[in-house]
Amino acid sequence: MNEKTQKLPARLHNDFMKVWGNPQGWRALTIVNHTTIGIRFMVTGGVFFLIGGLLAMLMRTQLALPEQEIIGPELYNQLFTMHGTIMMFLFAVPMVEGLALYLIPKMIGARDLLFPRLSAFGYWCYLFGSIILLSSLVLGIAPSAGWFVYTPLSNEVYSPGPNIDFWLLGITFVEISAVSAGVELVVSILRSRTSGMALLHMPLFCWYILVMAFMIVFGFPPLILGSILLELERAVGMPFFDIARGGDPILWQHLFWLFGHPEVYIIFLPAAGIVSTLIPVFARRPIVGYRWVVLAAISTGFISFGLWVHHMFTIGIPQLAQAFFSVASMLIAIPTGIQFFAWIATLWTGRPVYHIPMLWLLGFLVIFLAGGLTGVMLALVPFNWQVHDTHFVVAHLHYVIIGGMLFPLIAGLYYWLPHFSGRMPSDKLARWGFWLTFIGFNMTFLIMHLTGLLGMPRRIYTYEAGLGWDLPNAVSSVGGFILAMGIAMILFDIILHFRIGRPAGVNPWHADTLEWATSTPPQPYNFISLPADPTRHPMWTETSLQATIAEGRHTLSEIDHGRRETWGSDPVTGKIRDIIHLPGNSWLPFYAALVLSVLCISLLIRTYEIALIALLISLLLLLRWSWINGAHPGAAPDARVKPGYPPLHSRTFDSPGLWGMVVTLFSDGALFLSLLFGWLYLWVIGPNWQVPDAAPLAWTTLVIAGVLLSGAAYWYRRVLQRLKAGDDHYLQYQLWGITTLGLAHCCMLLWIWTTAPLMVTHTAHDAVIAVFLAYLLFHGGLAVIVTGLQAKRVAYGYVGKSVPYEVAVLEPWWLYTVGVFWISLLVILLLPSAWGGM
Amino acid sequence: MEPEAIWKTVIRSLAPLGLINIFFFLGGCAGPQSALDPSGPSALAIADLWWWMFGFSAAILCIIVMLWLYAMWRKPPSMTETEAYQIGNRWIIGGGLVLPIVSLTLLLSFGIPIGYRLLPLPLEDQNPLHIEVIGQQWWWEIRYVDAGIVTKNQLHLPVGRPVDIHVSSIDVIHSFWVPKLGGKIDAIPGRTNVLRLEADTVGHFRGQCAEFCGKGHAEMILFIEAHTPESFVAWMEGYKHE
Amino acid sequence: MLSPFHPLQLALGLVVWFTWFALMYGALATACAVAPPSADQGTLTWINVALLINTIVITGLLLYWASICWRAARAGNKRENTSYLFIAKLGASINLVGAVATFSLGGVVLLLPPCL
Repeated sequence: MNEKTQKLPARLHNDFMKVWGNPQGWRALTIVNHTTIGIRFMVTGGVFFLIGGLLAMLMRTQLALPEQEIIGPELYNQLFTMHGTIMMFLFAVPMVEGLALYLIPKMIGARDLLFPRLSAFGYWCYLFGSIILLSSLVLGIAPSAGWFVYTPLSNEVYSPGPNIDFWLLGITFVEISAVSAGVELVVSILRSRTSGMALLHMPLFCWYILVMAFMIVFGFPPLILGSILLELERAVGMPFFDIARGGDPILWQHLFWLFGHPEVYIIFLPAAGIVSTLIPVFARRPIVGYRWVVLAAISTGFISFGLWVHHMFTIGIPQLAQAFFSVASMLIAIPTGIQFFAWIATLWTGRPVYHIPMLWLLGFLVIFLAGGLTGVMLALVPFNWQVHDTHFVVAHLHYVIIGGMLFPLIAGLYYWLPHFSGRMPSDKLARWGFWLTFIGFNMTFLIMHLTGLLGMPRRIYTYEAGLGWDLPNAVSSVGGFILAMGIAMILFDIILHFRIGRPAGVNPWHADTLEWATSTPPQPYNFISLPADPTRHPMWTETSLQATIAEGRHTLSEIDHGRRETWGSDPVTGKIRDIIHLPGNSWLPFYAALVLSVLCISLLIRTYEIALIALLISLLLLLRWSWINGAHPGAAPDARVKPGYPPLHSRTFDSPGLWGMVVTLFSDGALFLSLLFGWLYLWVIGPNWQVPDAAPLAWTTLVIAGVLLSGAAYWYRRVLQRLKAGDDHYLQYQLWGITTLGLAHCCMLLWIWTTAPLMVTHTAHDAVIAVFLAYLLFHGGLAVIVTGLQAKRVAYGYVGKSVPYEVAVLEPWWLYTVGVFWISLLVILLLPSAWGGM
Repeated sequence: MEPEAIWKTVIRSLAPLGLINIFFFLGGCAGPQSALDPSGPSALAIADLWWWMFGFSAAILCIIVMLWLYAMWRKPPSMTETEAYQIGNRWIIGGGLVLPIVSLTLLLSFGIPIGYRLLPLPLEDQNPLHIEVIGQQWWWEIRYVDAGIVTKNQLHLPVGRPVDIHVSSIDVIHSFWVPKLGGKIDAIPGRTNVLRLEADTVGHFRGQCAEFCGKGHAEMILFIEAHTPESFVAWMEGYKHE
Repeated sequence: MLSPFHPLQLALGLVVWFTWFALMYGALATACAVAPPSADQGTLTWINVALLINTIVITGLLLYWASICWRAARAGNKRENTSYLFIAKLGASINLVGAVATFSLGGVVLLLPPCL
């Protein structure tokens, strides 16, 4: 080895840091790098976990003995509501997302996620939303209707005051972050895998995260819609859930659990992904049944959307309908069984070595399996009628969530600690932490099954002595404190290891996946050069990978152009298609989230003038954000690439932006379907559904508005087709023409809305129609604004024949807008006439 | 299998789960609000179902944990990748497909008929007693429609006669639940749900609102007294005279 | 018909299952709201029969798709890229899972009356 190649890595590192390096001080708020954002997510999630745990300790103190008066019902109700909300929304989801944001690019051999500014935006939304939500606890006005905020208890009549508004607005804000991370993960996994990493070579963790990300994309919108509707009911008086005016509180339950059940699997699947990653490494052999495991992950993802009614077995729906959901709930045991036996078979045929993460996986096995078995019991309708809403369910859900998420997560944490810090954890402390947690957990929750069977309902702040609940509750409380000690021990171990842990060296566990080919701790650019990866186990087949990557011996190691670049590849085969250039650090995500939190707070205190101003400012910030793209001097004005390399993505028609748009529209479509479901549900099931005698909207004007919109979309499509054929004549003027047509559509829609005799506070019927109109207006309006901006960008030369990708990105939005317009028209106008005299 | 035999199985399979729990299960499941101390056919059917499911699940849990531990511990003979593939496939198909499918089919073939029997189906030989229960924050209004009696938080039943409880609410969602008699059903504003119950032993039981309903949720308790048919008539007469 | 090598095969079978499930649940609720059969008809009602026929048709369709994918994966030599063979194999099993899920859910209509 000569002197030149030895010097090379250090010089390359310096060159890369000039482009990829993270700023210090205040400017650290501008960082968009996935490693930093992922760690921020995890650390913040960890803090919320401790806060949520603290609330649980308070509750266990109150319940330790019968008839205690330490905590009154008002506070207790806030405690359990916030405990559930914090653990599910502020800890579990952000934590697994953070881990995925951190790991995914490294595992697939990319330098960053594909929408770095969106990662940062998601983090700030999460942080600000959480702070808003938690401030209610400090102010003593925390939500107190349970984490599934059933209405009517959560409406303006039975929960006056801002408590529930904190929940609805804060959680919706946090959900923006979840969905944006979901979109980003889907597109990154599909489009930025390194050269040759075909779908069938993808690490299993990536499969699980892909499924999870899709589930977030489809699963969160029902709750977002539900929260918007409930907030509208509380703030404006639109009666979506009010029986007397034609609404139905059960609709809320459907919308909530349509989200709520997939949610459980959204946090379980990444954890199962951790298990599937760790077991082969410690069994010293590839996973047995790779395709089986992928099949199980995909099936779990889908089937989990068909179970939501099993949370509602006691609301009095027909037995046959309950049986559908009962069977579906049991079906999910089959993919789970497949995974368990694939893991066992891997251990069976491998030569397992014993390290701390394996201990946590054993804990996972025992606890999650027990929780899964009680889950099957709960899926059986008659048994569910007896134990639903008792402490049996509390025990079950802690078994599945702590067993199925926390234990694998801690296993993963110990496994990737050397990656985060470059140091190994202490074996002795880690063992203490595990056994305290494991024993404390089982002591708390095993007995709690019995407590529930003895008749103790959940969510009661106290209980009489002599019902047989005294001793089990005391045991649970003692166990809870042991569990807390275990968690403290783990925390202590982790903090300590940063100081005294021994250096980890290269690939300390002899793992097979690419994240161990970065330096530990990793640099912001992950890899100096991007290796081709035509196998499932790159680090096993090529043990010197870390060194050769750092020496720049693989591809895309040029940095003198000053762009942040990573490979864009074919979703199936992983063949290289284009070079994706990524935006750098920016204040915009931080500011946009900040202004959105002002919007959130002003809605909370119902000062709508400020809310409107904040909304406009945030829109401006987001548009500014979209402005710095393509051939803009802040993005990639110079399109020259090394000979033999594919073009930059902004010089093609098939950019990650297009994929991001389509996935976002999936999410948007799920929201629209939820709205459609709500409308049909109220028609069919709502006990007091009232339809006005005359149709509230005029046929003819609506159809004309629709024709204008369809014309605009058709024109847009033509423009894009011509551009693809290399013809950009009058591009700017055509885009202006489309904008004008769209604007005419919007004005007409607005006119229809304002002149229609809608009584939105009188009947749920009119209220839902108003929501439909608002939805259409939003889509039409946004289409107009962004198309107008495109026309401006053509004038500036940021978009055109050589930089066409943005025009292609917007096409799906136009088509979607046309689609939802006609569907809405159909159901608003045709349904009443088809339904006839009902 | 007799209940005693089930008990023994249960206790045996509990052994690995820790001493403290054996203590509790032996300590008994009695209590005025215990689902494991049934006083009616519906609760009895569910309690039986529970013990069967519990024994079965405990056995499965033990077997799989043992398997995992053994797989960790054993030193496998050297094998080719094809052999490993075959072994793995056998494990996955046997344990991941056959085992759950057989168990679930078994479970459903017991569970669905039990659920069906608990429905308020029309009866051939007798009329169920009609009682309306209206949940409100935070008490129960009990109406004996035919007799014109209204009580607060007091539910009186005759033993041996099916009772149809028509449950509704005037404010938020509550849930009507008397564990010793059977499952629960939600009290939802704007709807009436019907729950068929029957008591087969005389005595006092306790019921409680099961769906969180606000500040007074923990105090929303219902007292039930199951009478012999004669004393039930006497209670009704006496109540009317008050 | 979608090519057996198309990546959407990894979702299609279960998307069909979910759509079928949602529509069946909705149709059941609507039928019970509009024209509930009397309780003493048991399981022999027009609703059960319609749902059963529906179940059989969808199950058959999914099984057919599964077999197309499976045969394409077995034949395999048309496309040399293993990535696409992987998709066809996995797609076959996804369609099969969809068929099993459809049939096991739909089979319940043999056991219970529709609107009680």
